[in-house]
Amino acid sequence: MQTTAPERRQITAVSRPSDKAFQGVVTTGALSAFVVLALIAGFLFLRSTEVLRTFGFDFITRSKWDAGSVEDARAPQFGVAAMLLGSIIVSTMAMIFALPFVMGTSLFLEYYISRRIRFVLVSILDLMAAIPSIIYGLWGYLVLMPYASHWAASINKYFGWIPIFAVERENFDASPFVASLVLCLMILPIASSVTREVYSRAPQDQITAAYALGASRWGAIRAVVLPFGLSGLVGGMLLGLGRALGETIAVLLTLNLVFAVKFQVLASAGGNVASLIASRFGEAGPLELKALMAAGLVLFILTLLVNFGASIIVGRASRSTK
Amino acid sequence: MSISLNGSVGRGEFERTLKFSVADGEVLAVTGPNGSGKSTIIHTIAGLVPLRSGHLESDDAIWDVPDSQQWVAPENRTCAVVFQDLRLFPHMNVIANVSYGLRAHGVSKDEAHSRSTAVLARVGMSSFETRRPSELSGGERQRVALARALVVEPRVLLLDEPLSAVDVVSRAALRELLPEVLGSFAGATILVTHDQDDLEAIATRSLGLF
Amino acid sequence: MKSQRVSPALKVVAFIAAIFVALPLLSIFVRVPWSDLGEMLSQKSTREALLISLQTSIIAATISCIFGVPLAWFLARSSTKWLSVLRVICITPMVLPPVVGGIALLTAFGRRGILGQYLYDWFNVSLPFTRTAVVMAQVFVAMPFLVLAVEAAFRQSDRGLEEAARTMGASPSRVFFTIALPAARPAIIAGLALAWARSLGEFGASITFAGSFPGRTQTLPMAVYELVSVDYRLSLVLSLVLVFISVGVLAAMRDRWMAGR
Repeated sequence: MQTTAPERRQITAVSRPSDKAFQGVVTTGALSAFVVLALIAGFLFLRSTEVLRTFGFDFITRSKWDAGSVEDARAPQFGVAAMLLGSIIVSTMAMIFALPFVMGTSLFLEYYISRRIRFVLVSILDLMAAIPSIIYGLWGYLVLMPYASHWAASINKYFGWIPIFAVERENFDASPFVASLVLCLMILPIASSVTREVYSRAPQDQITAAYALGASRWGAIRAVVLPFGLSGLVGGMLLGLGRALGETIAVLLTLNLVFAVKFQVLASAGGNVASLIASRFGEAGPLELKALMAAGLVLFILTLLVNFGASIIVGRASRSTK
Repeated sequence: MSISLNGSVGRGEFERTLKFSVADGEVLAVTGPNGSGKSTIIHTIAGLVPLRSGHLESDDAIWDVPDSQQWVAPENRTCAVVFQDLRLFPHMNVIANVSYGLRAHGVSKDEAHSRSTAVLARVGMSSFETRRPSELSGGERQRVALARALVVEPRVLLLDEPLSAVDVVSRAALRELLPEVLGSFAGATILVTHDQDDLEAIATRSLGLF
Repeated sequence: MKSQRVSPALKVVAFIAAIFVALPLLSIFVRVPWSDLGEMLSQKSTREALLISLQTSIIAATISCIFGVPLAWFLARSSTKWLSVLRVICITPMVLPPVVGGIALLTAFGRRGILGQYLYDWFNVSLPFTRTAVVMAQVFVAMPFLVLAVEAAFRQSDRGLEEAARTMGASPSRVFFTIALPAARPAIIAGLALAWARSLGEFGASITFAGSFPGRTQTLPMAVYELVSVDYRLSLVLSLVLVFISVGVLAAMRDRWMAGR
């Protein structure tokens, strides 16, 4: 019963035209995405180098931001020091505030809850990550700020002798403190999802062993999970930091931009590179535009370093479990 | 000769040199302990893994000659495989699984359907057409995988441990079915197994890898 | 250990934690001027912003999907040694602060931008401050999310099934459409939802590249921002709309793709 093979079977070493087309489409699409992105990154860099060359290192160390004026014969001066420092301060504070919550939420979700409730809570957490940042900004401005000003006033009253809690004027609105509280909520979902992931991979046998030795649930967690998940926690927090550094609108609404280096976190003055760009962008002339691009480049590099560091640390965490 | 291989298969410490050929109607059993590279032979003939060196050809085409850059992609080789882990497509039902190969060759939906139904009847799976693989037992899945390979009427049929994942009862039934099905199969069959009983029941020749 | 019964106290704590986490939403919910809701919703600015937001975000999500899925396939299956570099470039928009992204887009596609100047001189096409620019900004920030999610799925997918399909005679493109895509469907839907949510909430990049012109490029987030100091009650209403759309559809989609597992 020698039947022939189906007609269309070609015994050739050449792939069919439709396959070549498919390969072509995929590769072209991929390459063009890369090309566009590489071009954009490159142009950003190119456009900003002009400003960086003009102002040199001063760009990063000076705080004055002035587009200059022909009539007043004022030369333009651009310095991101205050804004850069402000970004770092606000984001770091957000990270500090978020740390206990991230740890607590992750441990709680992984080790203290039944599957069904966990699903619901994790879903809520993920939905939080998808809420537009404008909502957080609005909430921060309309709802949180009055309370936060009140808290800031209390902190200032009792701890004002500590330099960072001192203020020059009794105005506590739109301070780094408020902004960092809002950012804290925003980075909670991202940081805790990474941390939760790592905590869930803690060696089960060691935990059981801890129990066998008489440890309580918290004791076992403290002995096994926390040390194991340390790098994951750090990585998650750094990812949150990266997000906080780049956040624009939430900070725009809750922080008053002032071009002076300040370490007083309760005062109504601070800096933030992203907000700077967003607020000055509309009326910027060509030179200021380039300066804003340079500021963006600086922020970008900072964010890149943070994320890079985070991925190395998290990568090391997951590799060490294998 | 339907298929002939003369060269080295596998990589690194698992590389081994082989020379064999199988004719139409023959069932060659490749045996050996686990890890001796039996599955690699199947994958190499199917084109999922390249030869290290040497020559692999069927009776009407050269499939793989590394030294002269000749290589035919898996989809263009006239062989069909029943994998050890079966690899039935979970998101398709039985009849869609079986007709997959025919449809890939441009056969119309209706004709593919009728050919598949015929082959399913030969392996005793007629009433299972609309079931999903997840709803089938091990033995039933094995038969569907066999049908899927047979329906495209390949010149070379490659079976990788066809009875290993099956329970004892189904295994006995399959051990009777296979020779019957292979008896009416026109091409060459290469069967990988480590079970002596399977070998004696099904094969016409054997090649031992030790 | 995980199946130990949870004391009621812990359940209460969990409940409180959930409330805390949902605090921003709840606060806005509470403060919305419900009595004037109808009148505010029917205002022109509301309808325009809503329309623009929906239109641009859906288009952006679709574009992200059409280009992102093949891109994810490429990243998951190719083996060039430049792969890790390519992937970093692809992830860049995620890392980039959105405003910087907007400025970068302007650098490239603005009227005097490196690519944009040709668009303007040759075709009289000016991209900034158009609705197309909004879509571009949204695709720029949202596509990486989709690519990441789908690439992960392609990576983890069962290569064995793809191999089996090829031995059956399926060409690589057929394998992609009949085996790989169906297997990655949950991840594609999830990625689509993510990209869409990200597009909807996008502010920084679109306001720098497309501007905030009511009726032309002003999306819901932009409208909320502009209204905060002018008419904060209206901005609350717009936020409510924004939240409803993003959270509502996301929640619905999540059920679907979680159930599909």
